[in-house]
Amino acid sequence: MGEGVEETPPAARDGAGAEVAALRARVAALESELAMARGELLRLEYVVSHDLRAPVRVISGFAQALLSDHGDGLVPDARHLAERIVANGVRMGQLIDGLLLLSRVSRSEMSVQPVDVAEMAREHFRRLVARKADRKVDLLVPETLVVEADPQLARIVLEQVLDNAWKAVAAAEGGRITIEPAGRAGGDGEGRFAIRDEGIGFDPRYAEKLYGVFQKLHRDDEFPGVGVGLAVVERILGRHGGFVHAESTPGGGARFEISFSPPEGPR
Amino acid sequence: MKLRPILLVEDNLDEAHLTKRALRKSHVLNDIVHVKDGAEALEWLEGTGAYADRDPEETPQVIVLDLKLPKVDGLEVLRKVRAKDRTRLTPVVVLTSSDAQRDMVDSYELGANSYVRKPVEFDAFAQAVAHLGLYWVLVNELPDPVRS
Repeated sequence: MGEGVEETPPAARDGAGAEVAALRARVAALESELAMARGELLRLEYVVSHDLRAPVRVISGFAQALLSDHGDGLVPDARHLAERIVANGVRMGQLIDGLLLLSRVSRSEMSVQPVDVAEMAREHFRRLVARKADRKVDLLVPETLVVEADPQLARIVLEQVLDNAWKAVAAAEGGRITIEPAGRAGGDGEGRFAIRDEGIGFDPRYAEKLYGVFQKLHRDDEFPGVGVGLAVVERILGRHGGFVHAESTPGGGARFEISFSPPEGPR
Repeated sequence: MKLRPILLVEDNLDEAHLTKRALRKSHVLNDIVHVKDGAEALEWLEGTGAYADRDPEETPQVIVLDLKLPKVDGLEVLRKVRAKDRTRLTPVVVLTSSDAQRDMVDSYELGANSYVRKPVEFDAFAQAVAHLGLYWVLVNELPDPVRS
């Protein structure tokens, strides 16, 4: 990391040397503080998501039991109330699972190697189609598309962005999802790709909110989900030194550029 | 033929209630014995302490084991179960909230037959428990108890 620091001025300049040493000590102290804060945060995320699971399951479980065992004895209003308990238990469960996924992708060990994201995309797309066979959605993807990444984390990225594209297209009642290389021709941007959809899109004025945890740009009936997918994607790409960039116009589809490596410098 | 009981080791009474209920819905007729911590599980299995009048030769059809337990934790129970001749072949299904890889690896290494993470959504949980009951109680076969 510290290539620039190697060229320290001659020892004659004692004052500057002492200053550098002091700065280094300060940086080291801040780094260890940061590492501690990060560790604390990750542990908190983990414990919260873990210990919250049981009571949520129990709450919706008993409400569900009430409905299935005593549903006939309940007046319509009472049934409705119990159903709302169940529905909100399900939602709480999804929120917790989202938090857990976020915590897991932040903590997991990484082993970077060549991975074919095109194959991963096809696999996950088949699952999506199997779940909702009545939907008319096409996937266009090259034969292979290799990036340097951790395979498990890359798979999560592909699943999340494909899920989003699928939902966006479904909300627009059909269309196409395209995955294509996005590196500059002849540039060093290999390992970068884009996923385009012909879905409902989003308002670019709120683009930065896309990556917030539990932040959504659409109502639940337009675009279901708890709003954790892109936060997960951003965190994974950040761990690889890469980035995600989104463009869209409302109703005009969206394009997400995904890179597992740092942005190219200006040329 | 007398049905062997199912031993459910779970410290959360509400979760135990829902687990028993889901097992019943899967048409399991076996008795379900619920113990609330690892120490009680071992006493029941060995016929000691509060269970001194129980015949320890009557081994369960399956042990459904939570990992996070007061006193003696689930992995320790598993270790003891596998160390005893009487129960070393008894199926043990770990049923836990933990999705830590470590817990999963440790469980299998200590001889767990199955590892099921409790889904947070109740429907999925009920279904997982029903499958578990169906398989380990109604499908899976065990050798006759070994008289030691």
